[in-house]
Amino acid sequence: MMTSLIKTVFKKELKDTLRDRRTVFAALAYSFIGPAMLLVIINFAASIIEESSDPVIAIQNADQAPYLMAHLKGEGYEIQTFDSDKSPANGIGDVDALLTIMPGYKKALSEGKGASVRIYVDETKQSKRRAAGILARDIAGFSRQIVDQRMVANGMPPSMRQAIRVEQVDLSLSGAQAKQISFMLLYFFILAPFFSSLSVSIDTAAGERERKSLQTLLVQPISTLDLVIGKWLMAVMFGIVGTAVTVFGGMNVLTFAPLDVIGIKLNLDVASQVALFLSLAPLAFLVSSLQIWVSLMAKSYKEANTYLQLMSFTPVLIGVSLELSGETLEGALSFAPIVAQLQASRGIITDGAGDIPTLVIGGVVCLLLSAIGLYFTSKKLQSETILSAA
Amino acid sequence: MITIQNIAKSYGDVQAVKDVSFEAKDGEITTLLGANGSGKTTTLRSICGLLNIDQGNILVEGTNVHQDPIEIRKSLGFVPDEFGLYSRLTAREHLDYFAALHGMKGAEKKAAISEILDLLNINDLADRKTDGFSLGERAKVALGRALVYRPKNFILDEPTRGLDVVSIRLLRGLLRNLKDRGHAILFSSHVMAEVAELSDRVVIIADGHVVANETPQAIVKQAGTQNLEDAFVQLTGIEEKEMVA
Repeated sequence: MMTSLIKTVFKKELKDTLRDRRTVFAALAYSFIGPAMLLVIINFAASIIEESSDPVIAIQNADQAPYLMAHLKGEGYEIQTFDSDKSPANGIGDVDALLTIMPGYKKALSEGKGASVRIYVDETKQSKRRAAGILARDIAGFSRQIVDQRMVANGMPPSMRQAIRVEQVDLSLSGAQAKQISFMLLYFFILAPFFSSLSVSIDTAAGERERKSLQTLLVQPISTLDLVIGKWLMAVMFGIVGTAVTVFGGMNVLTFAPLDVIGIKLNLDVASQVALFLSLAPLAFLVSSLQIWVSLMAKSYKEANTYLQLMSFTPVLIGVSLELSGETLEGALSFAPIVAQLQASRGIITDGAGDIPTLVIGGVVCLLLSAIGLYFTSKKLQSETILSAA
Repeated sequence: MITIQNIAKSYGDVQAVKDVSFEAKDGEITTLLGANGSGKTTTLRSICGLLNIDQGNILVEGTNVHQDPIEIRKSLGFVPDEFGLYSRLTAREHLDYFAALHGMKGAEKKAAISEILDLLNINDLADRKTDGFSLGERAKVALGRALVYRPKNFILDEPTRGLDVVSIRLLRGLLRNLKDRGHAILFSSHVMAEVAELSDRVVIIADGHVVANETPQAIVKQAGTQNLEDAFVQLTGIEEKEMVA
């Protein structure tokens, strides 16, 4: 039950903060701009993946080379026809490259001679240059097949043609890319509590010292614990609202993202959204508590901002460490703040179900640590050193 | 009434207050006078319970400050040297916040705020945010913030610093008014003329000790000087120290 003094501090802090447009903007910028940026990043990633997909080519005089056409189709090319009377110099359209079968192709092949083809490409565009390279490589492969057949026909083994055989294996599997992007999404959501309450926590704690208003406040008949709780609840409110906007906004925005192109399958239904929000909400309580404590340690707004920005990297550091170790933490460590939320959130957005015990116990741990943080902050307010810049 | 009994306070190796005793009685204006670093602010902060003294006692209305600081603070109105206002709140909202922190509600709170706005003649400023207020206007809000919950005792740390003549005259009138109503007023100042005119009792502190605790007239007589400024210089030995330096 909120005492009337806590309510008084909360209401004042809320009014004071809401009137500071810069602080409010800083608090909600991540939540509102973040999902839009997420959409842009995913679209960008999808466009890169799409660029590396099978090339689209046009062929001029395709009727002269039916076997080559069959070979290219077999390699996965999307083939368009290019008018025989048109000059490639006037443009080749939207295709990646134009393959022109040169006059005499069919005759030269049937006589066992070298036949000519020409590839037209706009080399100023990297994706088209790359497609032309792949096309040339595939035609060379077709050419080798013909040579092999001719050698066999003349009683020679095809292996004589090649002293060294080079094989290249493409390791850039779409699965690995999808995994990386999934982790990125996870960090995006878990960072929300950190960024949503950052500026308001600094303003309510370090700002109070910088404005020299703390000394007067400490002379009022209110316990330092009530004072801290009032300020903390205001910061928590921003943390919760910011996290809610990020989770619900972000997950709904993701429904418009070309996730299938990247090869990601996420659970974005309402139940998953609610579960993800509930898993991250306790973190907002803990983060606000720590942010206010750290801000009170700092002597200025700027100093507090530096410390809290560094603190915001914690989830990424923990997440990357877990990924690099390749292990899933078990036992007591799995309920540690951030670890529990990371592991539970991953289950929610990828498998559609988080680990309920991890989620609940992790949440309780966050709330307990919030209370400890508040206690130490209230003790800090009773120390004489707090007056040095108050 | 505020009673200080043999207090001492150190910050590490530095002893800011060595032995200070005096009383700020009801219906009197008591002034704490001392050079920079003499221990005035440490004494005032100790009375407010912001600092833990190493020895001695501080009694407000007969209760030891460190026994029940929350209860003591209900009877203390404090105006610090830095006014420390919230630039995004209006003058009225400042009064409202501090009245609410003292448990005032509804009509009682509204009436108290209205009374202070009238008393300080700041009705025209009441609904303006304090950002951009002049020093005098800021001082009035800081003063109103300490008055609104009607405390019995007032502590003001150099309240006239930076104020114009009009604001100083208003403050003087206000302090006299509070004194006539039976409040105990303790303030620190560097302005001798103001101290001589306002104070019923002057407590001079030098090097953490009380070197005089009398009416201004008695102090002048005790020092055998023409005025309070000369008496202050003689009793604190400031001139000798400057010459040695």
